[in-house]
Amino acid sequence: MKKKLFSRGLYVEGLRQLRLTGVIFLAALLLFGIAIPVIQYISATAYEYYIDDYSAQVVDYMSMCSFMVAVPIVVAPVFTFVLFGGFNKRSTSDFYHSLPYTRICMFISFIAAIFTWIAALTVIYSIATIVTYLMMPKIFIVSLAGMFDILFTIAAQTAMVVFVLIMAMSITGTPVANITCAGLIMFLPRLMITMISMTLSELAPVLGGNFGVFGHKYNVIWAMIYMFFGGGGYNDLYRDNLDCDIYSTVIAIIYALLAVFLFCRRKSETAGHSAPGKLTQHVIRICVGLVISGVTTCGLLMEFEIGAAIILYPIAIIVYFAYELITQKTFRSIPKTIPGLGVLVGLNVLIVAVCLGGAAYVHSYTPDSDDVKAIYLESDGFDSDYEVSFYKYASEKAAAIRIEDKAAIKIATKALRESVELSERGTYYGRDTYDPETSSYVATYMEVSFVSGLGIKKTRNIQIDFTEYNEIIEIISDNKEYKDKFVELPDPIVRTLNVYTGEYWFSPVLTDEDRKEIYDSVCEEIENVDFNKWIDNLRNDAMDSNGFEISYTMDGTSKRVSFKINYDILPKTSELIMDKINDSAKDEMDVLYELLSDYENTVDKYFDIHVQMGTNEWTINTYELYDLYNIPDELDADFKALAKGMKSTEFDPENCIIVNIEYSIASDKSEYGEEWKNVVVYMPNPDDFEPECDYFHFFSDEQYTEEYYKYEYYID
Amino acid sequence: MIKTENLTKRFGDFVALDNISCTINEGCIYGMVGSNGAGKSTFLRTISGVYRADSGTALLDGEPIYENPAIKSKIAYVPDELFYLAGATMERMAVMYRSIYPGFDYDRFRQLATDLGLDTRKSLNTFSKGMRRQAVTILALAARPDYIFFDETFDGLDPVMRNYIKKLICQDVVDRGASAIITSHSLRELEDTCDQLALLHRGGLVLESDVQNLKTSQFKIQIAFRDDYTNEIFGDIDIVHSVRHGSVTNMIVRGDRSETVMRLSALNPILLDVLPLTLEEVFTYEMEALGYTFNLD
Repeated sequence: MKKKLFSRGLYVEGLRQLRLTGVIFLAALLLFGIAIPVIQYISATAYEYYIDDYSAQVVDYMSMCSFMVAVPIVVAPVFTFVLFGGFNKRSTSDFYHSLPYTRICMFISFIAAIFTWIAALTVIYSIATIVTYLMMPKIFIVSLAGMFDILFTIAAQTAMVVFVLIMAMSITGTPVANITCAGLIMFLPRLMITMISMTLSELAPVLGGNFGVFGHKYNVIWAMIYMFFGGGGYNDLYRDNLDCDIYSTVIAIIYALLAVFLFCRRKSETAGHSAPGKLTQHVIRICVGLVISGVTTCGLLMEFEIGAAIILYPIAIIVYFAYELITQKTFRSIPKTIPGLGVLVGLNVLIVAVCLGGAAYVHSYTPDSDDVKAIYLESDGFDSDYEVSFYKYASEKAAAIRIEDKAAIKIATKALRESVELSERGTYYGRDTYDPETSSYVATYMEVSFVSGLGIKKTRNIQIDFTEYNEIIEIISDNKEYKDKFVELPDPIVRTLNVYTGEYWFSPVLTDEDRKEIYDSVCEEIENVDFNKWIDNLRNDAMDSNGFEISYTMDGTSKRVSFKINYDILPKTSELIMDKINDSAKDEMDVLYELLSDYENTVDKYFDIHVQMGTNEWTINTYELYDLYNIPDELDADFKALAKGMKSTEFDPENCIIVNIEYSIASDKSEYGEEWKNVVVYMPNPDDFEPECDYFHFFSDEQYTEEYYKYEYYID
Repeated sequence: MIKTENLTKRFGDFVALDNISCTINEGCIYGMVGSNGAGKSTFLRTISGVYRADSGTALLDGEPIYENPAIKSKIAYVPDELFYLAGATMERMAVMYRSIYPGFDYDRFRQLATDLGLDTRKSLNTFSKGMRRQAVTILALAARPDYIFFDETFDGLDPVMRNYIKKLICQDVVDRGASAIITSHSLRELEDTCDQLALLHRGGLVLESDVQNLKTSQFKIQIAFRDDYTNEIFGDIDIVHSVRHGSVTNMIVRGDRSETVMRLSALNPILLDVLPLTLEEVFTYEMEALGYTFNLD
């Protein structure tokens, strides 16, 4: 009988047993997959201007098929429990083990059934969802870039979950023990690694947050849990993580081999028992206790409240005994578990030793510049899942560039020594240092990798004076490869390019041609920009009052890159954008000008105008309802002055101001306010025509700095 | 043929099977009796390939059973604790059996289900305990295995149904030359069905014998003499057990019946009756002879 590794009959039987669950999951996924884009479309088209004026939304695979996250965390475990959960029951376990199949054949055939269902769900759900999005091209630009990376991640996660569960089910024989054991296998090592890493970062902050393969990203299942608890994001998990996927796949393969081995060695008599022997029961129980006690120990080293430890250590002991009681359902075994507490204490002592020893080791690394052959300026990752600052984007790419310049290495090693001293004294904070006396930042921090003569690379987070930082930037700006990373913009999906003004994030209406022209202008202008000023501009969050932020979806993914444009850095592009804004407002401005210049003959009885200008924190407005027939003469003059200012397009881009005007006119008081018109326009600085206004006044608020004047109209 | 030699299985400190050696021939119905915890189910699980023996061998047709699909394909095992898929009907289970056992006889399955009045489209969850046992037995028989193992199969069956199932098992043995092993804690369930009987006690095989031989090789004799006497007068007659009340001695004798009667008649007894023994009595006396005090229910 050729049933050594795979049985078609058993495979088909596995498919049949998963049919009910599979159909339920498929129905749920299809419901979400089709309903969500339809709801998004309905919500978007509820505002007609959305389609006509605003940029389209790029939806990549993960944005469309976001419920794929359910595959590893819900679908895979449920399928595994449906097919393998029966092995917890004596009758089922005996039945399957009496069948004319080898255990490995049973394992492979059932696993094949699980993965067939998962593949079918993935394909059907993905196709249905993508087709639904494709049917709404006005709103959505479908991008499948990165789809296979995401599917790779999900496949690795799914495989890890399935094989760990089977490992747990092969070791233990009750659902509680299965879940506990699976959780421990999957998460305990990473939890301990993460806690020890965090503790080391706290004890030796120069270590920074990049732990390489020990970082939370590398195990894609742990990364998911980490993300759910607020650490990291989708980017960490699903994008640009090929190395993590490969690492996790290797782990999944190890899990698979262990699962095969354990399943083949599994004793049917384990069914219904929490562990096959006393030793296994001890190990699991100690690991359960270690989860809480280990975290508490690390917390104590990180200077948590001592009160928390007083509560958490007893909880760890309670959980330790509770596991024994829940799984053994008797008090009689409790006394035999007490010696295990000694092992638990020993493990916690080991954690303390590892953390303190690790911190001492980190602080011991202060190489001379001669011992360092090269450095790498590392990136500290992206800001969020979707919005990525161009600086971070470029830094990420530039991090791979090897810098061998001796001067740069000398500055970096000196900064490292100083940082280690601060770290040992506990005064290293790893953030920009503000000097209250000069009211400026005097130092910044950066992650630098030092490469020794033997090629050993060590990464440290160093604090560095701005002057020295600028020296490094000056040095590396000679490196064309490095410089190019910061002046080469990623390819845009043009329809998604948006420009935001520095004031109240107004986004002008742009045609695709406008968007392309602005993008081309930026590309052309930054080629000749002063590199240091450009880097400063990118690093600095501040924008001047006539600055812009450009944001677009790039490289076929739904990730948006954004960067700021200040007038003194990219004046041509700034003027171009101002022109675009004023051009688009021209017709409306003409109408408004006519209204204000001769309002008694052109507007209806009820009229209100609401003007916003200046910074985002405040607005000016005339909320009063004016009866035009009773408007004082002074106001009449001011309206005309205002109109003059608004009409003027001959403004100096270096001395202009963006104004947002909303107005409403009506012949009947009851209709007043029902329809507001809105126009945004750059106009000369109000200072230039203020003297002509008697009734409206502009004034500057002394509380603001010279760069930020606050202007306000008010009525006497 | 199933042959075990020194088969041993332990669960921690507990020895469930202790050096069991036995031979079960083809075309035989082998009954295995023993009290709870005697090791009957463990023995069946071990020779079904469910358990791996800690030591000793279990061979079927000369090949090991554990992890040997070719050999296990000849076996159907009906355990004490029945297995069926949650919410499944008999039809669904038949589909499962058919995908596992290529020789599954669907017509026979239907026929047997009809004979027993079982609705194959009703969920097994709605069946009574006895009906579920009938259903699983039918499924195993329809798989047409060469060896079929029943663990406490008659539990929960009414007498009519017990006899019907026994008839089916006998039919398979006669028609196809199949072999069956049936375990029970009640000897009465097995004595009219099995060709061979074995007694398990605390993991050990205490007794194994041909049923016919067991029934004929021992008999009960009631004998009395006018004068006082001791058992010494019986010489080398193989007395398994004897009890004397006054001048009357009741004894269980092993050996040739006519020869024994002839020798005892020669002693001029005033009373000499030969009475048949039930299999249960045979087992009880054999056990006592071996030093066990054993209640066979």
